[in-house]
Amino acid sequence: MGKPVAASHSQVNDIKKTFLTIGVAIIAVCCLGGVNAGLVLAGSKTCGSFFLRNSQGDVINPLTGENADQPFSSRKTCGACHDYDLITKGFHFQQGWEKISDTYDKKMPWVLSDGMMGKH
Amino acid sequence: MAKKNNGFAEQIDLTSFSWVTAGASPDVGKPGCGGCHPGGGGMEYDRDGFRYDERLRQNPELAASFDGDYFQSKWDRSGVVEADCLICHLPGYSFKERVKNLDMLNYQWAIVAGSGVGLVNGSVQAGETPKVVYNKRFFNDDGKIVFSLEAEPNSGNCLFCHGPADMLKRGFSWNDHGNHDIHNARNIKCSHCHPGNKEHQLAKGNENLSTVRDDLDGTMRTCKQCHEAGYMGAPKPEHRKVRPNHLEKLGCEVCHIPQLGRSSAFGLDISTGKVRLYPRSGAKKVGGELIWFPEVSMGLDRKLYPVNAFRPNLFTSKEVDGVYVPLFARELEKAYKTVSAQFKQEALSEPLISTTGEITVMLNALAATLKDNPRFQRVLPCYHRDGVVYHLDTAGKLTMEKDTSWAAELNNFNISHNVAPTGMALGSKGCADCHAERAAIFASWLNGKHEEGKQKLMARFFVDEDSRVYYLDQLHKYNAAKRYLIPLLFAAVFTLILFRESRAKVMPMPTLDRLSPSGMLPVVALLLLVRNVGFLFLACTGLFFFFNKINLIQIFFASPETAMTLHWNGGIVFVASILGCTVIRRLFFPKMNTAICHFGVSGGKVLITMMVLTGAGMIFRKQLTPEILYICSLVHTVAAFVLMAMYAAKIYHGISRKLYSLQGGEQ
Repeated sequence: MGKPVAASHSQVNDIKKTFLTIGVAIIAVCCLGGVNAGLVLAGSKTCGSFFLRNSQGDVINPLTGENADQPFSSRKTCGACHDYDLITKGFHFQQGWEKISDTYDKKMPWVLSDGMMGKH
Repeated sequence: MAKKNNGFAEQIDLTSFSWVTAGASPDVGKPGCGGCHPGGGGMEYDRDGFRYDERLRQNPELAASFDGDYFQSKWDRSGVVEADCLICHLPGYSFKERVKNLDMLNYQWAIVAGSGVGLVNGSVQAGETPKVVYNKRFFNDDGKIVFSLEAEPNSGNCLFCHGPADMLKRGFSWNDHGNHDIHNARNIKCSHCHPGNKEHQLAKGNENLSTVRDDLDGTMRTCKQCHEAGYMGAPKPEHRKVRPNHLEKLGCEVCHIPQLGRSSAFGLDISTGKVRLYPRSGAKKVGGELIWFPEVSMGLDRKLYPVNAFRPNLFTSKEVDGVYVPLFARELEKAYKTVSAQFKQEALSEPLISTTGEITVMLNALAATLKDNPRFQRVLPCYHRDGVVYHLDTAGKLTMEKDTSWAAELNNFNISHNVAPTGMALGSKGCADCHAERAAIFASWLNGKHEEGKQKLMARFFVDEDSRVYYLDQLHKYNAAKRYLIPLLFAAVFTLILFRESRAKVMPMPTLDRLSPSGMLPVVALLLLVRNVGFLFLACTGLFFFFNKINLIQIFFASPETAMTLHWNGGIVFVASILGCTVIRRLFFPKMNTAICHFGVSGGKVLITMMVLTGAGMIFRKQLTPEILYICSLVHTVAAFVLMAMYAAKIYHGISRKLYSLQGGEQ
């Protein structure tokens, strides 16, 4: 077995660089994780935090008691940021209502639309 | 749903107000129509485009009118059901609380209870104005709420509605070890296959019965599109044991959803005026554990698909113009109550009213209770079931006839979920998975052939093409023999030709050196080369198809589709080369008696003509019925084997004779 050879100055520098790189990477990962956790804690993954609003569009604030016994309205609450009218054109919401008519089907006059609202 | 404009109360069945809670049983968590429909649309605005609550507050007299949106409604107190975004986007949403509040007519409060963000105290149904107590734990110090929403809904949220609804329609369940799905096992979510756009139109497949937004049908990726492209790591199918034509005739679901583990609703019984969905035979309830095999039905693309052949019974009244007008649930209930003591539920999986005696009693009861109903110009109660319509004649005697009305239309719900792992798919264990008399796919036709139940089913076949499946299987029964009979035919023809040749005088094969010198000779030589190479190519690919050597097809041609295309293209080249030879002979060698392109076998022209005709038919296979296609295939195969046997015998005989002459014998 040969004698142990002392590390050269350049080798020591390489080892330092390696540890430094790993350290920076760990700190970066922790920071990203922290930011992410902060986002989750601050609000939802998609919408952040927001005021609930009643059907008149007034803020509901249970902490101050403002309109605190009233139900919130999705049209006014979600619709503050999202296009409620556009979204509710989706077939899950309409279910034929956009076509409903007393004269929709002349052969089967009890059928008023092509969806579950009016089909039968 | 009632029309908007009505002349009297009897015309009104469900208003848009009563529709919200219709059919609900909140004690067992069963939602009414409005439970599953997430609000917005017809649950928020009337047919004139006004918000129900505001309009009724301004015009309270509407509740006393025969307006189909307002008749006996309480919109002014219940509020409207706005689109509840949280049903889909909030994990942990309480659907049960939503249903409970809707049933109490707390329409505008349902979103609060369902989201769990607060308690709702009070009931509009009981004449109260509900009050909300919000849970402050969900709010920040500034009064803003914190919801953990999912942009892509979790499958669990979709299942609030699609769980029970699609269980009864098609035995569907998700996250269910008793009724597993390979995609579910791979953590695929509903939204992966049914993505939505900004307008919240979700990608759809093709469904037989639902008609809403049919223009969006087929907007989701198909099985093939995912599995051939490897979308989300989907494995590429090889189908080495499956004959290529099966992939043309069968939807993927036929083989890959061979069975389901929970009972769908096999039928709907409305006899009492209340909807009773009854399970398949052998199950205790709809959704109960039961291994069952889907029926198979032909889709619009003429492929077969697995379905739940749902069997509703219906009561109508035949109007003077011949139209069968469906009866309202309350009209049935009224009649049923007068004769209910005469009925007894015999079997769980049958409607309450099934014998001719029971039908007669119920139709008489309906005739009596509907007598003064102004909704009808004439009262003639009818009972529709299994393609037959029953009614009472003028003497009160029960008559039955084949039902050709709208009521006889099939109610086949597509089955496209609960996909089995590959090893459980039909065909994974061989052809006998399907082509056997007791195999599941044909069981409903073959097993029932001699049973009483079959006659009931047969009535349904009058109006569709499902019976084709039965007849096709009858043809397929001979397929097993075909693999042996046709090679035997080859051997017989080969022997016969050899025997004839050995006794015949020498008639050498025509060769080019016997022809008159002409500049066309190189062309003829090229055409003969093309013809012979073409023949060899057609014979090889044809044999691959006949013996179903998918692995060889994949090695040489990458896919059966490519091989098939090349096969018929090769056929065209082969025929063109023969025609080319014929034209050249007539133009340049008119005095020759022997066709230069003669195969050296008599009957070759007839056989080739048969193959050309049948082959041409099979190029347009999608336009042919299964029976015609099968006959074309059989004729094509037989002619090909006879031609190959004749040609092989000729070549063998020629080579033998040559070798014999080289050894000094006489030819």
